[in-house]
Amino acid sequence: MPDDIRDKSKASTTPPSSGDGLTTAEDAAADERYGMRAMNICEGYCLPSLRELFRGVSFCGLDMMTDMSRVARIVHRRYNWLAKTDPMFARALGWTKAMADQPAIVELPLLEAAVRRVLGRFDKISWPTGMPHPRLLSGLRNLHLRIRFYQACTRDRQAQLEIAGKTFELISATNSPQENKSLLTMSLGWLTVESNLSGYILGADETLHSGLVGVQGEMLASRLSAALGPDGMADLFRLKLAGLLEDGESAPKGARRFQAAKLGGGDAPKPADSPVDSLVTGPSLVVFPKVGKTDDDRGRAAERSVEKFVGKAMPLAVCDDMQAVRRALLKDFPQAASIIDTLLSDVAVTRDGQGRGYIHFPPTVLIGQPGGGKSSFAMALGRLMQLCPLVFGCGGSIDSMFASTSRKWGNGAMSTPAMHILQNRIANPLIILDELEKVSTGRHNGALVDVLLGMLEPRTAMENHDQYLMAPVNLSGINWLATVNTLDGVPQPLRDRFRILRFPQPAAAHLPSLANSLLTDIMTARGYDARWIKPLAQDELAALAAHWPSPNGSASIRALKRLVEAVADARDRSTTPH
Amino acid sequence: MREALQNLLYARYPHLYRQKDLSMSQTCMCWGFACHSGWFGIIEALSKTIVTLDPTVQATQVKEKFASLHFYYSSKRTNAKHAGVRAADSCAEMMSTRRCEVTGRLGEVMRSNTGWYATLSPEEALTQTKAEGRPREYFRVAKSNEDWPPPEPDLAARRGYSKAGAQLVLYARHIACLSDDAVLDFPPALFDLADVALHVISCRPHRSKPARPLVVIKRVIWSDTAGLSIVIDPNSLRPVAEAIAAENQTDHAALSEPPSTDAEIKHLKSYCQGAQLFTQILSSKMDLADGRIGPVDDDGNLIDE
Repeated sequence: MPDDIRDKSKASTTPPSSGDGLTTAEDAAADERYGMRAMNICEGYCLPSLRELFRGVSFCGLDMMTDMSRVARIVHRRYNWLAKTDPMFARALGWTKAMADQPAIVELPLLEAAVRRVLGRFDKISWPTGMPHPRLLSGLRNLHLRIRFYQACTRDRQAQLEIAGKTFELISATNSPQENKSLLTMSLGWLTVESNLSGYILGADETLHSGLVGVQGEMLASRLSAALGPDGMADLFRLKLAGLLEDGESAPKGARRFQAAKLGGGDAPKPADSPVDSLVTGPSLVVFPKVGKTDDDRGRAAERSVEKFVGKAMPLAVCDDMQAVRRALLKDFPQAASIIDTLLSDVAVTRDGQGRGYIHFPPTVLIGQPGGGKSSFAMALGRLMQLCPLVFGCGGSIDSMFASTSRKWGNGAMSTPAMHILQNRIANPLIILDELEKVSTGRHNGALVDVLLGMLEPRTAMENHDQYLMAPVNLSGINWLATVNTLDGVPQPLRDRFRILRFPQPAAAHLPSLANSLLTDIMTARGYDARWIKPLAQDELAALAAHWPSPNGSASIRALKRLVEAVADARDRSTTPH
Repeated sequence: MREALQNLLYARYPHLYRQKDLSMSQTCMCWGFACHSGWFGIIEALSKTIVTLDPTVQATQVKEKFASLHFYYSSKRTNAKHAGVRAADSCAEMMSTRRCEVTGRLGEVMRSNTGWYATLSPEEALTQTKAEGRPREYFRVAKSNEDWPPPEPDLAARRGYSKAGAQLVLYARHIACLSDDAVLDFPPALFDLADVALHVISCRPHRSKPARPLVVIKRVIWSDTAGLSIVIDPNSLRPVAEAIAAENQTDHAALSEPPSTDAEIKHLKSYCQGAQLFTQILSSKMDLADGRIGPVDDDGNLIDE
């Protein structure tokens, strides 16, 4: 439910921060908007986002039941299509339907369990069209977290502790001081609420409201402040921010500037001003910080195309189970073990400013013989990591349309990477530049290689000017993989920007796993169920080994595929129809 | 009230005091807080309580009247919904008659020879009497002629309470609403706050009304993290609610649907919650040595003069 969880207090019209003190004009404007939204939520005009609930905004119309009902209605409408895919989803959606019609506290644990099971199922299910989209996963995770929040309000102690932890996690140097203060007090409040409110008469059917929790947190915070001295609370922040700062002694007041300087010079993309958007506890990035305005139809069209994302954080895809990705890749590409380990080790050490991991590796060229499986490998990597891969065939590209086309032209359009981010709604998709060395070197209509130079350099990619949007676009999150047969056609400046890895040729030892994998693909494409495909027998493998690798040393996967197709044809012919 | 403190309240609770910029034909908030700075702590605790319980409330006037704090407000919520706000308002009003309007120290209601009532500490009353420009005005302690509520202990006694003494006096004053095994454990500086809170929470009927059961209180305890907590016996709410419902049926016989007992219980819970919350918040702002709520600096922090 992306609409529900968006941080709506961070609007696109924030003025640039004016002072370098603790509170900036931007913070003040954001806090004012937050206050206005809080009032609208109290009046029942809109739903609070998850982040706003964590900050202490009350439920829609000051009533948890109303809030639950409205959220359940949105969820049921948005995810209704899932019911057809799996009975478990149907069961969970049945609960949301019941909650939308008649919200009841007693049913919350059942709904929570159903959503938790669905989330668990996503890890095991085999999807017909690749992995589930990151937005779907993040939406379900947020729904689960929101249900836990409801449970915390119904005095579920475990949920209260969980929410306290999640709230504390949201404190960061990139938030405004007011936001951090409210997050801290709410976190402390959830920890102490059960003991502090023991004297209040709250029946089983009554819910806690955020204000009451916040007051308990404030009381504890003031006591902590008194006990720890004038800088006591600052020390707490310092502890929390220690992971973000190279210099642990830096005062929190300078944390934001410090971090900005640190990120500006490094390879890591600048994290979003609102790190919690669609992925509440995950890393995120503001890709479209602003859009240039012109008072004409083209200008308005450009604004409309990105209006939902201007100034908003977009999630950075994360890899939850790298071992599973490694296993799956090794199964299909046993010869590429060194490449897989290199790329995954890059991903393993990538952290955003708050120490949260996300998928990013430096621009990499895979160089290898034709038919070696480079493009398939890149696509499989992107699919398994949920990076929404885009394969851009560079062969014969004769212009610079990969970059943006000015808004002043009738057919103006934003750059291909920006468009891909917009379509897939993740800030770090994988873009595969296939056959990069075969790109045209003419410059009559611009050249792709020249365009790529600016996008591949981390510093310039952070502020890549898009002529259509007339504003900088942050492309630093994009993962680049290129495939080439030789480096001869690749200009020197472009080589400098890429890490070059040699994609190994498969050897005879890899034949059984490669051939079986290809056979499965071929038979599935012919309409067979994967469960009924028998692995290649010894005699079939022996027949293949006689022809592959070829006597001249070429071990093309395409050649192997043709051989396996012949085996599949033979199987088809030998099968007796009933 | 000092302008800095007034602006601090406006900044902390912008939506509660959103009427401050309206014209005098629309609101009385245009005059600001028409009282002295000694009540800043009480007003802040009340504001915090109201914002917590019902963020839609708007203050329409805050002023001193007949020596006590009067906080007028408007709300879109139903009567039952803002019962808690009314309870907190009652607590603040009663508490304001125990704290000096100018200095925030322990005070009592005084009457000047010109007929003006004010809650002042003896020292402040002396200062006011000697103030230039008013040579003939002086303040003396006002005497209460009412039977109920019982007159509060005089200021000299309240200043000198030991912990055991404060608990004993509180027990004696509220014996009707304290359970047999009631536990009282709080610093003597919080005596006034506990006294006011017990008076409001127990829901004593107006003296013109016949007697009825009171809400029973089991514990009045203070802790570092939770402040002053008042623990209510939940079983005592039903008899009170039934008695109130019966009163309502007599008083509002013309109403087609007088509130039921269950509705009254809900109303009572909300009412008690408001008083409990106000007590908790204000206790965290009080000096535990001498019970003062002020004076405060321009940032609202307690200062030693």
